[in-house]
Amino acid sequence: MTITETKRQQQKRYFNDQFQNRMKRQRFYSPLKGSQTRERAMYKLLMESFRDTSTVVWKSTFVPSEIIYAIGGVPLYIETFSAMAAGVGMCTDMLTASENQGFSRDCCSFLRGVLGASRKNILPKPDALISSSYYCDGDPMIFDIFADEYKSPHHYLHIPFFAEREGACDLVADQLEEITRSIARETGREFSRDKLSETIAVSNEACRYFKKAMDLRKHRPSPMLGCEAIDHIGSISQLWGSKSFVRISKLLCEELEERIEKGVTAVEDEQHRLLWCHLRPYYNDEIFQYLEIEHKAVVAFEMVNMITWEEMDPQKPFQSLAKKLLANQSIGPHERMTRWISTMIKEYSIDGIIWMAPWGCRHFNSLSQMVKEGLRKEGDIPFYILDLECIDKRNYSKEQVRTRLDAFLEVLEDGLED
Amino acid sequence: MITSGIDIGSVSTEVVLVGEENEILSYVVLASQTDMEKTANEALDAALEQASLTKQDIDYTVATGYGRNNVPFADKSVTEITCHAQGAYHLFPNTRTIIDIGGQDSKAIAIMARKNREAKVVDFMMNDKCAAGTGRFLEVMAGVLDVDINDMGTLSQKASQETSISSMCTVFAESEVISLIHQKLPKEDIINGLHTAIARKVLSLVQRVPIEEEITLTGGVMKNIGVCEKLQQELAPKKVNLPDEPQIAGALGAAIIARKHVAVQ
Repeated sequence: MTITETKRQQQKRYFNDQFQNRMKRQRFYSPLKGSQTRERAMYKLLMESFRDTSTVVWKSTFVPSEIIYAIGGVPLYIETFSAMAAGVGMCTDMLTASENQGFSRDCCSFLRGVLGASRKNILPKPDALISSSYYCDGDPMIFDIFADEYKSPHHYLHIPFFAEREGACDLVADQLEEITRSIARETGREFSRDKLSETIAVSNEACRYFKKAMDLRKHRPSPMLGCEAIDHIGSISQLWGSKSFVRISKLLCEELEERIEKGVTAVEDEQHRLLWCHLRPYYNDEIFQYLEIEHKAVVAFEMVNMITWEEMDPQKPFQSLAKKLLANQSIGPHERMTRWISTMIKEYSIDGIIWMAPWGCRHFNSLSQMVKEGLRKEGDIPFYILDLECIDKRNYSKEQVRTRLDAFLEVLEDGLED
Repeated sequence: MITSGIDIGSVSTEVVLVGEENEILSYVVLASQTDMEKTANEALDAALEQASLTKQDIDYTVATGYGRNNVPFADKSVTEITCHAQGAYHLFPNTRTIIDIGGQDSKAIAIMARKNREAKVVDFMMNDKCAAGTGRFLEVMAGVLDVDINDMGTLSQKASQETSISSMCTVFAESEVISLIHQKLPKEDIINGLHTAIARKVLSLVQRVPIEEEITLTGGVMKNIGVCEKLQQELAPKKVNLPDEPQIAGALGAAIIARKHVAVQ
């Protein structure tokens, strides 16, 4: 497939228009500068991926962005494209295109969205692809499809299930080094250990600020809406390693500190504090608006912003990145996740948990009941498994969801009585 | 103090009037029309007439069900989860698990008792993503078999053998039923198989909340003795309660919840 200059410009203009539309879309809250800066950074990254001179590397969820920034590439965390597309209302066409190619609606809708977009030839060409085996297990095979279509090399990152066992870290570190060097060679980019160390130092700096910002959200009442915070997807962001993420995280810190100091709260008269697990519907904000604004049930924290790794050692870059990756609590036995959620409940003063279970997400659906039962042994926290769709609006049934949320809110309300 | 509870479901609408001693003064069950306001008013009028009361006698009204936000005379709306919990608990004070099968959804509700004789919902599940395990499933199958849905219970009691309906998708199960008809299997056996299928589907939902005795069955589908017997068999030896009028549990719970709000005013 040949991408001509004209086609690239058409693609770029297309996305530019869509993104501008999104920025103009009215929200039910005033976003922080840190959040606005993040949106612009993501937009800039996407625009950069259309430049002829850019080396574009598509990556799946758990592939660390640092290795791509280190070789001067543009990391595209490709699933986020579907989220963005859903946000501007163009995802139904893409999903239909993937279905017409024979992909079942039981598959992950993030991946189906990208498949459809690829078929419609509206994505920037990848110079290389990296997928990981866990936990988004559909990624490697579907990335093979992309690799075949774009004639680009595809690198697999195998993640061991037992992340804390001896040898797991070395296994991942060795692969990360091999992949980084291979992509540098294949794309004509230079790999420099010093550059990678520098990138990791940048990532560490952003992490210190981001962690602090998330810690500030422990304040009661909440200084920040969950609807806004969840879009930072801190634990899996493709901005790790970029200087823009330092700026974003620092801004978040400063703004949250200021809000707390001035007594500015996410909502007036906060009634409940929720922990939200997994991602969210990207086609509209209805659910969060309903919970947070109409019912004062604030999403005080989200699983996706859990920072579970320690500060990385720039002198041991691949080892550190491997540790970071394996620190994700979704990898391995469910007890890992249960322990972290138990900690979040205490630290963020959580009253109830909403566990979002998307139709096509095998991993998260499997995990849900085990985590629920694990938490039940420790206490009586209300836990609701909400069947919901992230990308495919056709699977969203507003009244059904509202009834379930109402019932859950009544359980929380009941909990306030003795 | 007299309160009313109204449950506007997808298939039927129930009104219950509750009196001074928490006793049921009257109740009415009507088929839901597309005009929910009209149905609500008709049901309330019928219940009032039955109890020789007027609208002015009602101190507070709570609405529940999918149409709960479309009842103009309701003072408050509460979900069917909370209302079924309270209604079942009122009828059977030792119940700790409620299984409700309505026209559009099925629910499993775990409760605990409070000091003030109220039910507290500890956990709940609702049917996920499709009509399997709901009254809608039985309606579709009654059409395919050309039987009256009200006769399905007694017909299944005449079954001579167990029949397996493997699919829980309503559409695919319909295909299976058509195949069984073509194999000239007796209707009674097919209906029995459908009841087994619906009971197992609902129980897989119930297993996800803590099941504690006693268990109470509510919702319109529980008027089908075949489904109830299957559930009781699967849940044995746990004690299973079946109210005389299982479909009014939601409206009854709503009326009882309404009493709390009168007391607060």
